[in-house]
Amino acid sequence: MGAERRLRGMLMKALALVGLHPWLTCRQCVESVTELLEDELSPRARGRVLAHLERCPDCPRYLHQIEVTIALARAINPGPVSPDARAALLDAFRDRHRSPDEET
Amino acid sequence: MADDEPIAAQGDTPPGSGDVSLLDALRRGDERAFESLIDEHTPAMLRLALLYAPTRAIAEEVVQETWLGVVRGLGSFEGRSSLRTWIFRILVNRAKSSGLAERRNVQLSTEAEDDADGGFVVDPARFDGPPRGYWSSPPNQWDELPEDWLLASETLAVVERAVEALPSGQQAVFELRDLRHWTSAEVCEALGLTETNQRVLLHRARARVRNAIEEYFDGR
Repeated sequence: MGAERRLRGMLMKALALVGLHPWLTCRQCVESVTELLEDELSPRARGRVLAHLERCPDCPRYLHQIEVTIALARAINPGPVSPDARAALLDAFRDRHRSPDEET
Repeated sequence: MADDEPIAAQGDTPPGSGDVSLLDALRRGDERAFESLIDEHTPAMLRLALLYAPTRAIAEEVVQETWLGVVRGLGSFEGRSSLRTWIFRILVNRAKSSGLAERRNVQLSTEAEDDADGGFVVDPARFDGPPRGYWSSPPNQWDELPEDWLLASETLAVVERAVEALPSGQQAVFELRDLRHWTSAEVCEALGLTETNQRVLLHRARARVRNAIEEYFDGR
């Protein structure tokens, strides 16, 4: 599969050298990744992006890195809410719900 | 191989799921439920408030006022929208009453339409081929590093700084879409953006953060 992919990649670049880009350039592919992930491409445009990704030795890595980037950003812990602000909100909440038989 | 891996970052929970039991708990006065609600939404609310407020202190005030509005309004909330949509609508209304909203909204769409970088998210010099338009300097292979390198606190600090450094519209869209799992329709509504502008901001934000990670691992 690796060899077949390499061959297809070489064919894509050979065509590009004579001015043919039937499956997009890398630059176009990179600019299309968000529309691809958002599923907002027309079937034809989507087909061209996917065909490029099947041939290109590098763009699949870019796409994968965008996904890893999102996953890493999700791993950031948001800073804690400031204790003062939190205490004031809880007080307000408690006041609102104070009832005679409330258990704590 | 990298391109055979499943899309790991796309799992979504439908908006509003779990709202009913949460609402019940809040109306009963369940403090723990309220605390977890605060912890869940405050970071994103602060980012959104920062879009409108001129300073962090004012943004924090807007967030605080929003929560007080939520506490007061819980009893009359009818559940026609999801809880979080309702909360963020209160937030945006509060922010707008500061009188800065319109200017900010204009800035958001200008940010999306700004072509200062020629509209390209990766330096065009990296596509010099041959052939032209194809990678000459392909992405380095940082995504193949062991997971504990990627998740090291130093790497996450790089990611965090990159997110903080994003222009405010990109930052808000990235936060709500990718970190808080909002749908694009929800983000467009909350920020007053068109679908296209929302997507442009998301596209640029993700690319910038990726570029920052790559640069960091390049320099090591």
